[in-house]
This record gives sequence, structure tokens and C-alpha cells, in this order.
Amino acid sequence: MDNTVARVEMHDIRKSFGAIQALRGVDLTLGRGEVLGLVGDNAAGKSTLMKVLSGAHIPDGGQIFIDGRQVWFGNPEDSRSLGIEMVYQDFALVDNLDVAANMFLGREYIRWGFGPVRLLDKRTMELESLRLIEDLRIDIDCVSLKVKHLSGGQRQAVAISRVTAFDARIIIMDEPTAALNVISVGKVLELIRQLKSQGCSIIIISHRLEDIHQVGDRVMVLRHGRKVCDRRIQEDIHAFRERVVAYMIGARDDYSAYLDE
Amino acid sequence: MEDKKTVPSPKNFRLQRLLSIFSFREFSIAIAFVLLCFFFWWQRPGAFLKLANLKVIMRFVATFGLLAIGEILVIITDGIDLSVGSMTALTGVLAATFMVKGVGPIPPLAILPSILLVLTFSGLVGRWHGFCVTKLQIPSFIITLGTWLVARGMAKFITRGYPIVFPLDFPFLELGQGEIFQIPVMFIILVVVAVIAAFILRSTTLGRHIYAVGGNIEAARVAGINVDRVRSFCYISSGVMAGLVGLLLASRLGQGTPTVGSTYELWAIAATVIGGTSLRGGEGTITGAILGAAIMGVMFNGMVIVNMSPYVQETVLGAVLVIAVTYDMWRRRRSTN
Repeated sequence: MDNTVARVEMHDIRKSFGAIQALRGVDLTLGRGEVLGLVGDNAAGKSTLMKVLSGAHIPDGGQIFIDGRQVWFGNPEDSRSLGIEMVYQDFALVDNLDVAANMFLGREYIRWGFGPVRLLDKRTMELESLRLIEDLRIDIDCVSLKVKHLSGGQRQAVAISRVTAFDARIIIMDEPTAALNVISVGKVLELIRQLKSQGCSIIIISHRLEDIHQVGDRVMVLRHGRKVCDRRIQEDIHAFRERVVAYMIGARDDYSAYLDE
Repeated sequence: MEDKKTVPSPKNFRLQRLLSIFSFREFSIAIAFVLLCFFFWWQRPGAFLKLANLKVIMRFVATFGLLAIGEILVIITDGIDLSVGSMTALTGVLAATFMVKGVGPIPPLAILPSILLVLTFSGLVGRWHGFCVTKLQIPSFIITLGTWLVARGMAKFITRGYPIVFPLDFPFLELGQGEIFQIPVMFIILVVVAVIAAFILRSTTLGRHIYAVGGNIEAARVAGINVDRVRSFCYISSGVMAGLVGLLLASRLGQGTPTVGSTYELWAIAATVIGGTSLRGGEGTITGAILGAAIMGVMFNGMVIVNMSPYVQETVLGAVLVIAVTYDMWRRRRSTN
């Protein structure tokens, strides 16, 4: 396969909710094994853009290319089948089920099936989740532990490794480090590096600019439904923070020349 | 890597699974059940273990166990089904009407078609509950409370308040009164249904999805589970169980009575709660529900054979319920700390 083709290319994505233009023609590119930080104030359109990519929203206009092939997502299943997975902000785990059950929730291994009767292959799922946890060096000893007994960082790790169980090539993370303590944040960032080294392309929505600075290759800033900044992360954290905030509050804008008005 | 995490060997793995059937909670309930049996046996050694008395207990356990199996599925998905008591009356009356009187100009039906018709009807009522809860977003408490009244009212309306009596040697009566090797047919039905239900909950994707829906319905939804279908399945099962119990009671009593099964929904809920089910959803096992029904059965029966005043009996049962729930909450709090 041609390695120069971007894994994801979104072109001129538009989406309105009634009179509100949430996205006014946004472009996004994401390379192979690249980590993109997606930043913006509240209601800048980050979540809407990601929901378009994950198939939860159908855009009013624009094109999406995955590996150079144009695609159209009518629902989350369409996008999932192309290896796009979303890790939700509130972890989206079921507390009363164990780690292995959560990893394979909704996509269980079946030992035997007849019509609606489908027998779980618990052993394969437990071994498989053990393998995943080891691959990603997550410190959970026992996959038959109920998720409610895990720490915030461990829960996030389960939520993230859950998507890798299904050969996700493009992972979208919504605030993966919010509501975590310092040590857990470090572990989640380490996990993101792991995934990157395995060739996953990752988009991180985050308000924590230092996290994006640590693991991100590129940063993209949205403001009022438009892209105002898209650049490699090169500078040190202080300069980076200052620059990104300037874009976020509208003091700088690299794309003002392309404004419709 | 040298320090691999311990991967259970296939043999150990099966053993673990086998032992986990008796996870701590069910085990403590089972011990309570055994102690209770010992107590009544010690009080009235002659009466309690008499075959006839054991059969009485088995029929009781079958009635409430079957209702509890349907109820627990609904409760695990964080709902409740208050209609099952009234539904036993309505389905019993319908069964008697179909088999004995016939509907209007239609002559009485044969037994098997009548049974199927009644079970289908009760399933459809459950489907209706599922539809209201999932599509119309009506709280399960409200919609099943509606059926609780409607079903009872319809049972009274159909019969004009009088029981419809089956002929004395009607073959249908075997279902509730018959025995196979001294074991009541009702109890055998309970065992078969319980095994199927436990299998579904423990070992199939559907069972896992039922627990997932009760634990975190949004997470279940984004995981791609058809949440509405899972919940509907539970309400339908509860409806069918109520229909089945309605048939069994009608057969046991030899008549379709509009007053049968009143407050049975509460006993069914009590059985699940004694069996360690959380009314907040996401937890509960068939083993627990059956044990809960068994404890209630032995209590009911034991209090009679030790000549306890009927006025005190319900008080004692209420106290047992409160103690069981308090103990369970305390144990759960301790395990999370």
C-alpha cells in the first residue's frame, strides 16, 4: 500500500444544527502512526467533527477519504468496519462486568451459535484480553476483576485497549486524561505512545495542552467551526501553550484568508 | 518475558468456573436455607420431612421461583414488573375459558392449543411492556402497574367474579396436581426453566448483554448492543413466566379464579431480593432467585407446621426480608471498601 497517502483525509466538512453552523468547511488530515491533538474552546466543533468521523453524525457537505478511498458513513457501524474506533470521555465501561467482558462487550467471541442462542467463548476472551493487557503493558493483574474495583487510570486503560482488540487503525479519544491523577495521566500517555508505535493513528481531543504537547505530532485548533491552526509541534511547552491559546481565543488565525465572508 | 501473568490452564479454568457458581453470596444464602430447614426439622421432625409436606413446599417454590425467574431478568435490566400477580389470574381465567367454556360461539379448544394461546398472549403483554419502556420511555413501574390493574379487572370481567371450574378428571389438571416419581410436575417445570434461564444468563451473549444493559445502558448502547431488544426480551420472559404460573395455578386449583395470585408480584420481588439481587440493576443470579423462593417457601410452610399464628407469619416474613437486604447491603459496602 502506498505509504504517502494519508490515513484519514476530511475535506470541507460542513454540518449545521438548525441555524447553528457547527462546522463551516473543516479540513483534517491524519497520517499513519500520527498523533493529532485537536484543540478548541467549548462549542468550537471538535466533538461534532469527531462524531462525523465516527459515523455518529452525517455531515451536510464535504468528503472523507480513508487510505485515499472516498467513504461515506451512515452510522457508527460503517466507520467501525473501517477500523475507526472512539474512546468515550466517560469511559463507557460497564461497572458490574469484569475486564474481559468489557473488552469484548458487544463483540463477544462465540464458541457455538444457533440463531439467537450464542454461547460465549469466555476462555478465549480472557486469554485474549490478558494478551492485550500485556502487549500494552497495562498493570491489571486479573481480567476477571470487575471494572468497578479499578482505578480511574486502569479504567481508561481498559477503555482504550478495548478498541485495540478490534484492530482499530484510527482511534479517536475524547478527553482521555480528564479526571485522572498525575500518575494515571502518565500511564495513559505511555499507552498512547505504545499504540502509535504499533502503527495506530490517533486523534486526541483534550483541554490539557501539556498532554498534547507530550504525545502529539501535530496540533489542530478549531474555533467557531473553522480550522484556525494546523502545525507540527516543535516548540517547548511554554511557547506551545501560548501559541495554541492565542489561536483558541482568536488572536491568531492562519486561515482567515479563506473565510467565506 | 519470564514473569508472565498466570494464565489458567484449561483444567483449572473449568474448575474456577464451576466453583464460581457458588460465589460467596449464593453460598451464604444456601447456608441460610439449610439452617432454616434444620430449624423446622428440629422443631417438628415428623411433620417437616414428610413426603406430603415436601411436595407442598416444592409446589410453593415452583410458583414463586418461576415468577422470580421472570422478575429477575427485568430487575437486572434496572426495571420492575408489577403485573405478574394479576397476570397469573388473567391467564388462569383465560385458560379455563378456552378449555371449558369456549369464547362466544367458538367451542372449547383442546388443551395444548389453549396452553400455547395463553402463553402467546402473556408473551404479547410482556412485549407491550417492552415497547412502552423502550420506545415510549414510560417507566416500567408505571406501565406494569397499569397492567396490574387492567389484568385483574379483565379477569373479573371475563368471569363476572365467579371461578370457572374444570371437570374433575380433566387431563389439564395433571400439570399442577400431577407427580412424576413423587416429584410434583410443577417443580420439574421449575427446574427445567431455571436451568435454561441460568444458562442464558451465564453463558450466552444475550445474558451478558442483559447484565451490561442493567449496569450501564449508555455503555451498552455505544458498544453496539441492541439495548431495546435486550430489554424487550426480559419483559417478554417475565410475561411468559406469569402466563406459565397462571396455567399451573389454574391447574393446581382446578379452576380459573379471578382472585388468584394477588400480591404474588411482591413475593416474586421479595424472592429475588432475598436472593441477593440489587433493585438498582446489573446484579442478580437465577440461583439466588430460586434460593430466595426456597427460603420463602420453607418459611411459609414451617411457620404453619410449628403452629405459628397466621397473624404473626407475615410479620416474620417481612422481618426476614429486611434482615436479608440489610445484611446484603452491609456485605456489599464492606466488599467495596
